[in-house]
Amino acid sequence: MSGFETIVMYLGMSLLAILGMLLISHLLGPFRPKPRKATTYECGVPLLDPSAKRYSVKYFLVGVLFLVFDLETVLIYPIAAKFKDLAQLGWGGFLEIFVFVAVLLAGLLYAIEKRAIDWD
Amino acid sequence: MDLQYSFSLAKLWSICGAQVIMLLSGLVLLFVEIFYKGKSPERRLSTIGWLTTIAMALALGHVCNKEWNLDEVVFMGAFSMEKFSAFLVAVVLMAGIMASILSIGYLKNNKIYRTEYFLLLAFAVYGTIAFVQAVDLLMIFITLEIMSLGIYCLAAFLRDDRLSLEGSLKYFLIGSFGSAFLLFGIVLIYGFTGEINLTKISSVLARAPFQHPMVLVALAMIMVGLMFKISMVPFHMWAPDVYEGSPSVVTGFMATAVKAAAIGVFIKVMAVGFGPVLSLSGQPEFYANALLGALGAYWKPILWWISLLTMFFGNLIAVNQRNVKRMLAYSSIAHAGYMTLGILASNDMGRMGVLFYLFAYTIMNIGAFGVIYCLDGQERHAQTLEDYRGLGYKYPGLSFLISLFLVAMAGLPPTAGFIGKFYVFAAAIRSGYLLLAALGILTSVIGAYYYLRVVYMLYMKDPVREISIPGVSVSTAVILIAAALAVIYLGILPQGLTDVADAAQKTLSLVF
Repeated sequence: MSGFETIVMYLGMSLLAILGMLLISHLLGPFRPKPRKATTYECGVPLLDPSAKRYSVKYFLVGVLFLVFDLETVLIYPIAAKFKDLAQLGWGGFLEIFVFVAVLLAGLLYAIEKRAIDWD
Repeated sequence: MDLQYSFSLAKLWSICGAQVIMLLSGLVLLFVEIFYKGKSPERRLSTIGWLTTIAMALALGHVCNKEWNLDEVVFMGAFSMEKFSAFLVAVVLMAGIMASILSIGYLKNNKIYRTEYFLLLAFAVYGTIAFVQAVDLLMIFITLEIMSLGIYCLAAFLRDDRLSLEGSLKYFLIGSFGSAFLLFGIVLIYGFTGEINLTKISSVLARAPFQHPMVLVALAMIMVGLMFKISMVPFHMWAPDVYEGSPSVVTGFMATAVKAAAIGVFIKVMAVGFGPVLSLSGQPEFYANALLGALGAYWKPILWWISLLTMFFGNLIAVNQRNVKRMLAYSSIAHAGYMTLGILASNDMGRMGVLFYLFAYTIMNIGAFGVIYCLDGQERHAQTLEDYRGLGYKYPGLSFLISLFLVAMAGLPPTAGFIGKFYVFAAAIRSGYLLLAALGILTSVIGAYYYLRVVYMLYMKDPVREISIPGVSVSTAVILIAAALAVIYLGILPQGLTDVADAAQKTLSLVF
């Protein structure tokens, strides 16, 4: 299991950290529950409600569009970290990022033209 | 970034040309879809449908126009294009072209004028091509998701129809479940070898003890992930509901292109990634050696049982179905079982047989679903066995075509289905799987019962209710007749295609 000790240690440490944080906030924090504060998510859709009810499709549309840009950021970050290696590829590296962003841009334009982010 | 792979546009074009064409035309279609208003919804629908078809035809031209025996077949360690991939890409594009032409008529029949359909189809085809070409486990996963997302949306395209939505949701949930298996397998193999490229994995495995439990678990996980897509038996639960619920043409596409791609990747992963002993000994050994690799001892017994279960389960349950689409869903599970037999045989003839079978199966299955949509008129209007009673005299052309496709699927000569089954079973017998081949032939006899029952209903029963279908468009008729001719032609003169398939499977080793 070479190399996996580190992962096990990492997992153990993160578990300890989580438990520690929960414990400390339990010991130190004031406890004044309100119904709204007791829900799982502070924002977004209510957790428990009748399944057959009207809901805002816009909310999910915005959610999906946000996801696209979230992922874009996540995928472009590693390029910054490896920029020196990438620069040796010359235009190839630029082209790769360009294609990636261009595809996303086309999707965004499509979404705008389809009035996905118009509010009424 | 690994700099040993040099980037060049020319290489990108020569190896991933089909993908580039599909991606670019998909992006162009996005804007055509927005800005092109058209004279009437029908005109708009058929224009965008034909544009999609032309894009796929261009991509097919790029694939077929080249002799794929270059020395360098791998692009940046991510995609490869040797004859094996080229063959599968051609099959996928052929399925895509047939599906998109049939879709025009299908959508008109159902009075659906939302043209997003063709965008989804184009991107699904793009994902499928990339999936077939990928030689990097991470790329395999990403492209699998691109392919699947397109298909999930297409499955739900009849959005006022409960069965369609139900099928799509089931496909999405179970597909994600299957992808999770695949991804977990990839993670384990990456943890063990530190590589995600198939050839590098095999060279690391050749140095390391490949019987390590982690490798075996990873192998099992990756196999399970792909088996979900192929719908082999313990992982087939989604198939009947999804195939019944989806629009008929989409069902045809996902029963053929997705299955062909998943089987191709399955063979590729098994032969290239998990063939450690072979990669040490080099290419000539690969040709001579009948086995896919030293890990064969671990996966072959499992695949033996899965193949048997898939063939029996698919064929036996199909007997009990009243809905023709659902029956074909179970039959497609059974066909996956026959193809598994060819993978299991893992000799030249077996792999060639699988490729031939995939080609023939694609033609006859999309053809059958094409006829089903024509007889249906509007989706779920007439697709049970009772509805098919006596149609043979009212609609002789369509009835003859579906009879031909079903006879071909049953594996009767002189059709392509017979030749495909013959090669697969012969390869299995040659590799010593005599019992399995015998049982397989037994199940295909069961299969003949329910295929021929449809023909019996068409010609020998009196109709119980009036079925009237709208006219069949010329393009649909041309596709169906071409498919029928191909099925017969390949049944009588299979030599051309078997030569191509044989050349294709021999080039698997070029990925190294």
